Formats: sequence, C-alpha cells, structure tokens
Amino acid sequence: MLVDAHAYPPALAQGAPGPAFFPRLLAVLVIGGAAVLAARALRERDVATHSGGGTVRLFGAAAWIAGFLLALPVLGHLLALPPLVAGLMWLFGERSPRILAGVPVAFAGCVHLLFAVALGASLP
Amino acid sequence: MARGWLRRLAVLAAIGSIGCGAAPGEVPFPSGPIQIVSWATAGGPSDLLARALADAAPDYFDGRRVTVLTRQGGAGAAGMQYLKGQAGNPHVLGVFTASGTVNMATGRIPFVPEDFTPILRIQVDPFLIAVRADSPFRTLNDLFGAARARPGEVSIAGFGAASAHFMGFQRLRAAAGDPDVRWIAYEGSGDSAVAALGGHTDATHNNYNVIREHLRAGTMRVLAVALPLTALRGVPTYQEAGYDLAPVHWRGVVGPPGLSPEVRADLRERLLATIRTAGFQEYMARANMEYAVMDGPDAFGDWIAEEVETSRTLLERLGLFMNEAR
Amino acid sequence: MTGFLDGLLTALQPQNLAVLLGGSLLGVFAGAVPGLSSTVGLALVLPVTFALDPVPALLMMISIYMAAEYGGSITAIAIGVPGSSPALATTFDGYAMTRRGEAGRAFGISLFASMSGGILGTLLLVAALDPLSRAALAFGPPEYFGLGVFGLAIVANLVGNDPLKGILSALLGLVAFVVGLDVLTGAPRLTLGTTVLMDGLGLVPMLIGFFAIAEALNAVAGRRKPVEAVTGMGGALPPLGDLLRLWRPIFRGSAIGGIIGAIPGAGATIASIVAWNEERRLSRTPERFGAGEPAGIAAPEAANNACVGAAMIPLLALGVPGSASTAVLLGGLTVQGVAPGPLLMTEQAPLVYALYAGFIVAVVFMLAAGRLGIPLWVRVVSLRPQILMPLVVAISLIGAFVLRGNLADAWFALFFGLVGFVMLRRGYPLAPAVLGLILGPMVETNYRRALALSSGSHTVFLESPISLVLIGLAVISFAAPALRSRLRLGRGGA
Repeated sequence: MLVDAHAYPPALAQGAPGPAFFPRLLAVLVIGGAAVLAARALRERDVATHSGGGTVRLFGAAAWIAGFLLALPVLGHLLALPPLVAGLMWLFGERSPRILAGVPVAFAGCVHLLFAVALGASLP
Repeated sequence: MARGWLRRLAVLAAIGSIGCGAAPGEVPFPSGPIQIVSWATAGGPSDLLARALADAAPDYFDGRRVTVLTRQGGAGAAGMQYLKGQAGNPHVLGVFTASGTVNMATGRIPFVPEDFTPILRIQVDPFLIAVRADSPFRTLNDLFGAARARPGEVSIAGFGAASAHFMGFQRLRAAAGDPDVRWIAYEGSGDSAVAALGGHTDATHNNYNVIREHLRAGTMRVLAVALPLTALRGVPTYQEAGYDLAPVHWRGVVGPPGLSPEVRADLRERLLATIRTAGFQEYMARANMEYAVMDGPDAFGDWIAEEVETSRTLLERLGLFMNEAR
Repeated sequence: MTGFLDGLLTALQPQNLAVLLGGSLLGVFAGAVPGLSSTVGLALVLPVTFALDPVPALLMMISIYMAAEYGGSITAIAIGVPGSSPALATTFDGYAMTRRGEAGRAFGISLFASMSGGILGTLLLVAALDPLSRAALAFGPPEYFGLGVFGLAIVANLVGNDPLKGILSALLGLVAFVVGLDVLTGAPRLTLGTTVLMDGLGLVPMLIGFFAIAEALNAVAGRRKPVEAVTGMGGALPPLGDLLRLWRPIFRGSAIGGIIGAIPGAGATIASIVAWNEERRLSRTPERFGAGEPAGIAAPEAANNACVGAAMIPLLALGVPGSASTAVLLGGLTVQGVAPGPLLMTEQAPLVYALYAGFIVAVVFMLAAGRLGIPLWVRVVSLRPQILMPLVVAISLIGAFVLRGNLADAWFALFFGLVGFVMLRRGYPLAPAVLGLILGPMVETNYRRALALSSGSHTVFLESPISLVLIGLAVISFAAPALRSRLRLGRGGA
C-alpha cells in the first residue's frame, strides 16, 4: 500500500485544473492515510510472514489465469476453458483424474451452449 | 477464432469457385457470414443502426447470416482495432459515426480515416438547441444575446465534452462570435435533456429523437435546428437564424482497410438495397432518423476527412488538443 | 382499474405468458452469473425483441430486468460473489448465513424480499408516476452531490475493525474511478496514454476480481479456508412466519429502492447499499449486521427489486433512461415504435397497463423460477470447493468478457483479483473500495458541475434543501460509529 501511495502523485498531478482537482485531493488523502499507517507500523513492527508453498500456488494460479486470457483469443473458448478449469482444480488440491478431466470439458460445453448458442453472445 | 474460420471458408470457397469456372484467385463475395461491429452503447442509436442493418441485410448478402459483434471500450478503440485488423476482409463492417471523427481529431484514439474503407453514409441526426417551455429565450439570438450581456451565466447542457455534441455547439458558438455560454457536460443526451427540463441549465444541445415527446407534450421548445426537419416545420434552421452552418450527428458504414474499389462498390450496392427495404425504412421512421445517403464513390470518405479536419481546427482554436493516444 | 384488468388479460395471453416465463428464466440466469447483469441480459435479447410485437417485446424485457435483480442474490448468498452489482450488499449477510449453514433460509428470505420489493416497486410506479418524475427532475447537481456524499458516508459502517484501512480502501476505489475520460472535459486521466483504460476500469471487473478471483487466490494460497464445503444445510426454506416477521426491513428497503431508483443515474446498487445501511442503523443490534442478520438480506433485496419499477418512472414519464438497463429498454422500445414520454399514458394506455400487469406476472414467475431453483443452488453450495471455485473463476472471466465483448475487462478482473488478494491478506475490507468506485463519479462530477453552474460559489450545496439534508445525514452517519464507540468506552471506564 505504501509503495502504491508513492506511485500515485506524479501520475495524478497531470491534467487541467478542473479534472486535476479531485485526483490531487485523493492523492493528498492517500498519502496522509499511508503516513499514519507507516507511523503505526513503525510503532508495532508488523511481522508479516509468507508461507512458501502458498505463494507458489498463488502465483501459479494467477499465472494460469493470465495464460488463459492470452490463449482465449487464439484457441477460442471451447479449447481454452478446460485447461483453465482443470489447472485451477489441481491447484486447489483436486487429484481425481475423472473429475479433473470430466468437469472442465462438461463445463466448457455448457458455457458454449448457454452463451454462444442460446444467447448468441460473441465469444472468441 | 472467427477470423480463422472465415479465412478457411474463404479458401474453401475459392477452391470451389475455381471448379465452377470463376476467375482464378477471385473469391466470390460473400463467402461466409457477415459481421457488423458495434462499439457503441447497447441500445443506443448507433447500436440500433447496426442491429437494424443486420436485420435487413441477409436478403442482399446472398442469404448469409449477418450478426452484430459487440466490441465496446476505449471510446470505440476496441471495436475499431478489431475492424482495422480485418484488412482486406469484406465480411466485417462497422458502424462509424461523428463521434469517431471527433475522437480521431482529439487524438484520443490512435486511428486516422485511412484506417478504414468508407462505404456508405446512411443517416443524419441534426443537432438542435432546445429550452424548457417557460424559458425566456424565444430565439437563438435571445440565448446568445443573454450570454453576451451576462457572460458565463447562461448554461447549456450537452452530451460529453470534446464530443460530437460539444463540437456541434462550439461550431455554432464560433459562428455567433464566441458568446460566453457555459457548456455543462452530461453522461448522455437524455441526461442533458433532463438538466434543461429540471431547470438546472438554461438550454440543452440535443437531437430531435431524444426530446420529441417533450416537444409534442409542449414541455420543451426548439430554438433552432441545424437542418430542416419535416417534424419541426416552423422552427428556424441555424441558417435562417443567421448562422451559415449545419452541424449534424451522422452514421454510416465503413469496412476494414484495403478493400478494392470493386469490392467497395459491391458492398455499397448491397447496403443501398438493404436500407431501401420496408423493414429498414420502418426502423428509420420509428427512430426519427433522416436518410442522408452519401453513395458516390468518394463522397463518404471526403465527408469523414472533412469532419476530422473541421474538428481539429476547432480544437486548436479552443486550445483543447488532447494527448496522442497509443 | 378496468385499464389494469385489461392489461392483466393482455399479459395473461398464452404468447405473453410464454415470453414472460422465458424472460424470467433468462433474467435469473443473467443475474446469477457474475459479469452478466440485467443490462447484459437485455442487450443479448434485444435482437430477439425486434421480431416480436410491442407488448410481448416489452414484457420480455421487463421480466428479464426484474428477474436479474433477484438472480444476483443467488450467487451472493451461495458463494459470496455478487452475481450482479446490486447484490453487493446481499453478500454481507447472505454469505455469512451460508457459512453458518443456513443457505436455504437465506435463499428463502432473498426470494421473498425480492418478490415483495418487486411488487411494491410496481405499485409505486402505478401510484406515483407523476410526483416521482417531478421529484427526479428536481435532482440537480447539488442534490446528486449530496446523495453521493451520503452514500460514501456508509463506508463508516463497512470499515470493520480498523477505520483507517476502511478509509484507505474507499480511497483506492475513488482512485480507480478517476481512471478514464473525465466526463466534464473529456480529458483522459490516469490512462497511461492507452485507449484500453479510456472507459475506466469498470465496476464489474472490480466485483469479479475482488469477490471471485481474490477469494479463490486466497483459498489457493491456503492460509485461510473460507470455502470449507458447507454441510448440513439441506434445502430447508424458512417458514412463512419467519418471512413475514421481516416486513419492516422489506418495506423500508422497498421505500428506499423506490425513491433512489426513480432518480436517474443513481441506481439499484446504491439503493441496496443504502437500504442495508439504514437497516443496520435502525437496528438495536447493529453488530449482527454483516454476520448473518436476516434483515441484512431482506432490506437490500427488497430495495434492488423495488428499483426496477421505480427506474421505469423517468423512462415512462420523461422518456429518459436513468440506468444502463433502461437505456437498452429504451432502445428496444424505439425499434418497436413506442416513444415513452409525457404523452405515453394518454396515447398508449393499454400498453402501459400491460406493462404494469406484466411486472406483477413477472414477479410471480420470478418467484416460481427462484423457488424451483433453490434446491439446485443449495446443491451448488455444497459442491466441494476444489470444484466450485475454479468454475466460479472461469465463468466470471467469461462473464467479464461478454459484458462489453472486450477481453480487457477480464484482465482488469485479474488485476483487481491480485489487488483484492493483497487487501484481504492485510486486513483491508473490500466493500468500501467498491462503494468508492460507484459513488466517485456521482460526487466528483456533480461537485464540479454544480460549481460550474454557480460560478464557483459553494453556497449552492446549502441552498438546496435536499442536498443539505443528505449532507447532514452523511455527517451524522459518518460520525455516529465513532461517537457510539466513545460513549460505550466512556461507560465501560466508569
């Protein structure tokens, strides 16, 4: 949050007086809030610990979703959805191969039928 | 995905056509479904035009499916990017409007008119200036006169800033010698009509279809309209009020870049037939739109270039040039 | 009255009944799927309505609108993800009840409150079309500013244990709103020079990111397990008595929804959060709100369905859409050759009566679709989280795409998912950020608009009684929790 707050002001300062007023006000408030937070953190020495395996799974999941979004326009939803769902299930700890294979494919089929066929939405 | 399919279909059709004795290398059109890209708000006038076209077009596109593809975002840039990426593919069309040229002029969107192939301008939606029925203003000159007498105290509500509506009004204001009328931007045309109806602003810069019911009910009056409308007989045009210009909102169809003149002419003929159907005419009447067809080979393209240029000059004069968008 | 009976007969014709039924089912679906909303549902059926006559076209659209406002609560209660933004407030208590093993009861309350709200909103539309449309006209920039400030003050009740973190969260939402084109000048702000950010980050990506993706990431990272499969809830619906006891929150919620819904641009999301907050304020046990209080479901759900009828007021009386959903509706009406406005009631009375009756029938179908669906939702809730959460994430991403046909929205959702994850881990409440994003435009734009109209004089905010009252209420609402805790502390010390 602190790092965030430091990144705002330069970007927020641009623009004509009218549109810049509110962002500037926000920037001041965010910096003020962050300052109080920092003061408090110094007083209490916040000890935040990260557990190793959790972080790997976290970034794995985020990267898997990002990969899906990259693949979606290329592969189309019918091909891109099953790996997304199966991968996330695996990360959540599902290990049964029947479920890992069956549910994602069935899900992609349902999405296709509901969105693309029934509703006529233009999915990639 | 869709693009890959189209390509494959196009190739298949090409192979087929050679067998049928068509000129080699020439793909008969249409060889697949037609897409009309809509980057405007769902249910808004541009989106309705896209849908009305899609409804009436199949008969003139050899019975092919014609669908509307929604691609909103980035002030239209998302849809335009998609269309531009379809270079040379006559199966993808887009509804292009005055907003597109204004956004090009402001530099908000990274496109130039040459990024698209103009095909056919279909309708215009003239701007007008309206007030609440009990307003002291009877004519455009009353409004501008009051602004000259009390600079900055006369306000007009309109859709957006550095938008097509904004440009339309600024052009009129410039012709009137820049009286200090305050432009209050609203999120939509309806909102700007309500602002005037509620007495929050002195007037609204709007379109006929938005305020029609209020005119019929007598709750609003039109001071002047850019172009003569049959429904507004008796209301002076800008020209009759002494300002020799006619800013309008307009909508038409463009294609992706790289369409040959023959393909353009073919598309134009098919679209002309489409907009002459009874169904499309009914839509035009119900939406209170005026036909303003520009079907000469270069007419629509010239119009687009001219509009961008007019907006750009005006923006420079107002000191409102935006940053170039990437 | 005969007009209404004729309208009812029209609505009950077989073709119209079929259309209402289909619309209700589709509406519940559109509402329940995160990313889809009443607006997207309406936009998707718009081409279908072209082929229908005016009355069935209208009935199809209003049944979707009505049912979608209910459908949002299903996902909110089942998995804590608002199926559409007006169900945000329902997640506070609805999901808490589910985690307590009372999903069936929560579903029942939400359905009953939605039905009641839908009917009360329709009655309001019938009874107060004229006065409320005039009230909507009275709402100018100072009044909108007051309403926005009043809404933002609700943050004070959403901050949780650490007010500073709550306020920072709200500020984050306000910063997120600034991204995009400034309405008043058309200048791009915080867009980093790209077109992708020009239309802003969007509420739906934020909701999906915060409530679906961040929660999923949190569960994957495995520190906390909020998604233990909930067991032993059965499909037990609450007895009618249990529901009728909630009549007060339902009435209050409907009244709030009815009034806020009639103001163009305010909308169901704001109405339902205000309803939740007012219920909490009036409660003798405000600490139970957010921890599974039935009234905390009843009030916002009544409010967002009451908004449907109320949102028709500016549309029918003024011909102006007050929300994204009514804007699509107006498009559909335009194509049908129906022009809403001051003359509609005199010129097209049968259509208007059919619309009124259609709302009532739509509520009945919504009730039926909802009631039949509850056992299904309960089974979805009891799916193992390893299966349920990936599906929620996947369908949310698809929903985010369908919203505008733009993949950028799915990327924004992932971005908000990561931000939300960090916030969750650090103990920042998420709801204030959503509130900031929703109310930021109302506050900023109208503040500047009001000053532009008053030539920079701040007294406009004090001259308008509506704005004065709303700002006063905001100050009270913001100061009240602090005062209350100080009082309590004082008493504890004595």
